[in-house]
Amino acid sequence: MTFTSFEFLLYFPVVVLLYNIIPQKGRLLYLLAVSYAFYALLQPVYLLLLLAVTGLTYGFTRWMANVEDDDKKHRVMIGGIVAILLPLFFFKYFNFVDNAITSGLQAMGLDITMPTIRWMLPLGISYYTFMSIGYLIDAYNDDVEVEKNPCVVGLFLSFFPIVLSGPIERAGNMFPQIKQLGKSKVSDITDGAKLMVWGYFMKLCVADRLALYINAVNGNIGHHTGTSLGFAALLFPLQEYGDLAGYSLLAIGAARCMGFKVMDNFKRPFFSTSMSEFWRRWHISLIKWLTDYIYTPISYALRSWKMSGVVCALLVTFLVSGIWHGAALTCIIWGLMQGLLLSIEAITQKHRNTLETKYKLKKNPIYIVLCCMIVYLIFAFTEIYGMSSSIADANRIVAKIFTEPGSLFVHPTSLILGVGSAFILLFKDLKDECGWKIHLMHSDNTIISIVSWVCVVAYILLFGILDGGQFIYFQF
Amino acid sequence: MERSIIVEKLTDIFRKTFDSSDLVLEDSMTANDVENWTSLTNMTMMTEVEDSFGIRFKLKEIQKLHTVGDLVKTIETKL
Amino acid sequence: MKKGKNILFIILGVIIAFLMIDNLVGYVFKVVYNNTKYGVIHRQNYCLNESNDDILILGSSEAAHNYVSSVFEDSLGMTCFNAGSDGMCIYYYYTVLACRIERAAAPKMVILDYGDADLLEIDDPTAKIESCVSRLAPYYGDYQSIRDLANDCGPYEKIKFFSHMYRYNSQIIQMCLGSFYPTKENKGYEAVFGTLPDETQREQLSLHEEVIDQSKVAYIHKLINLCDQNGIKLLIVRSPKYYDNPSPCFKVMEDIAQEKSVPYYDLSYLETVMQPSLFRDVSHLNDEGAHIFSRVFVSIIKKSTNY
Repeated sequence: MTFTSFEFLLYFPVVVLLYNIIPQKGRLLYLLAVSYAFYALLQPVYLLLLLAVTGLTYGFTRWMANVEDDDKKHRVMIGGIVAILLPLFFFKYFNFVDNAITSGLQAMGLDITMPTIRWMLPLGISYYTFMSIGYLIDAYNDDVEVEKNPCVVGLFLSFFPIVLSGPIERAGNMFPQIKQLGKSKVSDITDGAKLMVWGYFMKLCVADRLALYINAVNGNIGHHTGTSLGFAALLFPLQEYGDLAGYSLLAIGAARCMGFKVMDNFKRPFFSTSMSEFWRRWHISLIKWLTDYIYTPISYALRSWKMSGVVCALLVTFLVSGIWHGAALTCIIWGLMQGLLLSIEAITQKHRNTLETKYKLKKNPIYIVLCCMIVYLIFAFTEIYGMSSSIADANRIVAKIFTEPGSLFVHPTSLILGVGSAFILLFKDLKDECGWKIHLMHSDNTIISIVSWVCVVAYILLFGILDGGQFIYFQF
Repeated sequence: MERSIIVEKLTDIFRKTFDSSDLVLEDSMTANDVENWTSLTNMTMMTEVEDSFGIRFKLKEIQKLHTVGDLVKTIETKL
Repeated sequence: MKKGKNILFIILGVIIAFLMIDNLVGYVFKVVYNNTKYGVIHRQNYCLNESNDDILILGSSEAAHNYVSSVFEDSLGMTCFNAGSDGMCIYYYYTVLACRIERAAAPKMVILDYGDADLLEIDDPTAKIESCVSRLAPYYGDYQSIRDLANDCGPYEKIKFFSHMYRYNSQIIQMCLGSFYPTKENKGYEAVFGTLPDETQREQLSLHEEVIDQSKVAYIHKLINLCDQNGIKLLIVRSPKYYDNPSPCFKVMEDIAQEKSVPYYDLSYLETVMQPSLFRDVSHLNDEGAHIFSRVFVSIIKKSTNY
């Protein structure tokens, strides 16, 4: 049962209703049971892994709390991080490292085959692993009090709206809410429902619809012209935005229906005027995690290197980001590309500021639009590598885009509906970015609000992909 | 060192690091209030503060700083 | 209590607004859909709601592009409609026939052109029951056969189909094209043009993991039984391909045909059309190839069935 399955639509209101009916004392165990049941319905065996990681997290944080000596505490924290990372390494990266070692040995003339393991990736492992490590580090830094109730830690890591694909939450934000577990206010349910409907629109009408066209083109690189491949590459960031941001809204909205305030994960990323700004608006929870736990410590350690330290920290951070996204060379290349782009921006920041101030560019609408377009194009280009199954495929696509123009592959339904829905999405983002006071779903007038909400539902019923697609980010 | 001198020195550092020639610091200011004050430029600013005041921050201390007021207080305790 | 009343009013308001919009939009879409003048939707409307043609050709894109209705009509002296449709499979073919019978307009003959997608578990949306249900959804209220297909699809279809708008999901572009973009109608036959390069060699497909889909096999049996019960002459055909498909699934179909005494014709390597110039791609004949194939097949029917 995923968020876009019909069963979820049937069961979720019942889950929320029961949550509000049962006494406050029972709500923690209830939500824990629902979350574990939700996970077990998808991957029963891997629920054991989630429980194991929960146990490790609880154990190591309680251990740290009982240690006075700071050095020993630090060693316990490191031990905990390693222990929690082990399952992620084995399930996600073992075969990749294995193949790399085998290739390396073969290059040295040694024909040794390493054992490979075939197993399915546990859903959500990248997300709950990062949440767990974040809690460990925050507990070490005394940013959050170590939690004595294992059920609270259990629910933090398994909370069904966010366990599969984030947002990557923090213990400091979730623990107080988990311990409170108040009834849902009317505004919680209405706001949550509005977020979920918009999430469904983004996922089903934008992402899944565009995916039909993009997959048809990218699934047959040899058959399509450079023009079609280029067009698919231009559409891909919109598909990804609809997919990941749409899913995040579903998660945030579902949590909101039960009174939980979960962090935003996207903030109109296509209105960024630089790649640095883009990475403050795209997959915010992941970037914040990487900034707080990877970038800041590294840039702190290398601060005497001045700009070189910043560049090193950026490259390592985005290398980690690339690796987090996938156990493949393409993901690593993608990560390094992002690191390189941000490094270039950091190095040229002062010069750009000078120019922008001198010619008053920052408030010039043409300059802003141009910057947004360049950022979009750069991101779309890097995504060719990020989403390809191999470097060779990515290189082939790039080569064809620039050397083999031709007729555009047209699939009327997926293009017209997909691009049309994307325009609606971008227009809404533009409205929010500019602060225009056009409120439909969020109108103060209840009738306008209800009718708008129903119209979006109608749009989804008429134009969305309703036979169940897979989220791109389910592979994490 | 008197607080006003700390704030004055800090203002110079902020104006230089964040390219904001008319910036006036307030205790409640955060990174959201200052253009160009991002996670990328934060550590550069901290390094300038360390060099200018001859102090050293611990990583934990930097991570706990949220406002300009927090930063001023921390500098005061180290001087 | 006031909070409880508030949320109840909102929920009630949402339900009323939804019912009103759903029925209104559903009605408008139904009118436009039923009056579509060209293309896939028009052909489907005709086949399900109006056709009394003696011969009904069923299949997916191969059927649609390989069988020229007029050739069958001229040679056999019977009316013929080609209900072949891109991206459909056995669930669709059976239901289309069942709908005609439900309308008391059973054909005299059914030509079933089939492929491996009609027997195997294939991870392609076009080879699944969901896409067939989706294609026939606009007629959900009109035919029990379509409601039965939807129920076979899953236990929640009944609830989903309560919404009239849901029935027209993803149909709007085809509806617009079918209302404003004229195409030549040829009793369902869809001509395609173009050829394979002259030097194209006939190659063998590599076999993927082959699992027979028992649900599809069940529908094949249902179709055969339906023809039997209604006195319909059924012919099962593999039309010409410019590649070899070593899949054992074709033997499965051949065995079923033999078991049920249904005439079976494997024309996948019909020599008369085995030239690249007669194929638009390795799976489909072009217009010239389709005419030649249709004439050959008609003569085979005449010889073997006394028509």
